[in-house]
Amino acid sequence: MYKGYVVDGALIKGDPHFRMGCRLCHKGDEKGLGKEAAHKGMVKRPSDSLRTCGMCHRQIADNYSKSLHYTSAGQRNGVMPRFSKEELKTFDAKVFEKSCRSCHASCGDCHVKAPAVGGISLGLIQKHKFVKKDEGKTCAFCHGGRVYPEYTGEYGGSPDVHYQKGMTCMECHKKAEFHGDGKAYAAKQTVKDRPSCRNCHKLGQEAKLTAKISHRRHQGKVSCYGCHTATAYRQCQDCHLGKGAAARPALILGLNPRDKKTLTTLRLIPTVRETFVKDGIKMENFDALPNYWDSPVHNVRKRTDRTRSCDVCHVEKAGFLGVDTMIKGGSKANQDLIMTPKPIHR
Amino acid sequence: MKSLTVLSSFIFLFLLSTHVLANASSCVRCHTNEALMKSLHKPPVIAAGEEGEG
Repeated sequence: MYKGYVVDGALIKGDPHFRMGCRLCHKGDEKGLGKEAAHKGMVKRPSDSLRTCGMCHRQIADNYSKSLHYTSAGQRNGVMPRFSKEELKTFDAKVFEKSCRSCHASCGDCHVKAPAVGGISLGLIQKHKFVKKDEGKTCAFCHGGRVYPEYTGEYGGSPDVHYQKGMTCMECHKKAEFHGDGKAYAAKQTVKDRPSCRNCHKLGQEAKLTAKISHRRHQGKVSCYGCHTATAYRQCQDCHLGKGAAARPALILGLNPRDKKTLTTLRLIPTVRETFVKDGIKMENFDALPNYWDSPVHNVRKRTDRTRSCDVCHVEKAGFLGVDTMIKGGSKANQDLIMTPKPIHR
Repeated sequence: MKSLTVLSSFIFLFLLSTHVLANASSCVRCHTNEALMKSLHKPPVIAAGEEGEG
């Protein structure tokens, strides 16, 4: 862990970031003798204030101030419809700023020091080098509960085919998506130029006729993930109840709650009726939203049980959300996500 | 004359090195010293509670 605090002396001579001294960003007392004196008034995470990086990288800092990685607004907007007006005020004051917002990423979390999660941090990524990217130490630290282990296969089953081909996060998620374009998007689903399978895999260019026919038949009705998610993925349960989180693997198929038309992979979200009770929020409109959200599961394979046989969905209905498989005491809106596949007439 | 040149060069180099050392901040002195960092490091206290599932 101490290595996370060791700075490469050679960097200081060559990197223009260090030209004005440590104090420019970190404050403190450079001439202070001893740890306590030198660290007096020190700012541990200077880029928490975007003004620090914005001194030189103004356009990026301006755009980033509105990006979802910085504002965490997606989390707030995602749960907001469950609250009454009064409850939203309480949520903003008691929960959002103290809890959700603590997950926001500063410039330094991606470019200098791996973010701390649960009090653990790898520290400086490359001895305080300002790195362009290092997904394993940055993205994976925050998205290491679901996305990363599903992508690498650590969560069970096989790894994502893209991972096996050597692709990491930023092969699909581009720099502009993280830095933002200056527009304050409400949710990640609305971000312009977010990754899409079809950016690379064009319809009509399939090598096999069966794939071509399947894609044509299911186009607009089933998401790519619906068929190409390979294995069961992490479903969060009982989180935010103060008892510790419990996650179980499952593959759940149902209608996308955002359009109620497309069949896709659903993920159980951790908000349950009691989630904010300790903060005085009962969630008067809890049933306005379901407990399952569409999830772009990062565990894609060309061939899955569902691509091999039509019967897996159309006869066995494997993985389809149903009244029996839903969480108990969940939102009434969960019912709207049930989809029963039509039988095939052979 | 030659000894005077050597002496003045020596004084110049000495002053230069002390100037560099004086300008090296305490931040740089400590944080580039791995052994010192190791000796000063205290492992963080990990708060018990909910597990992160991001």
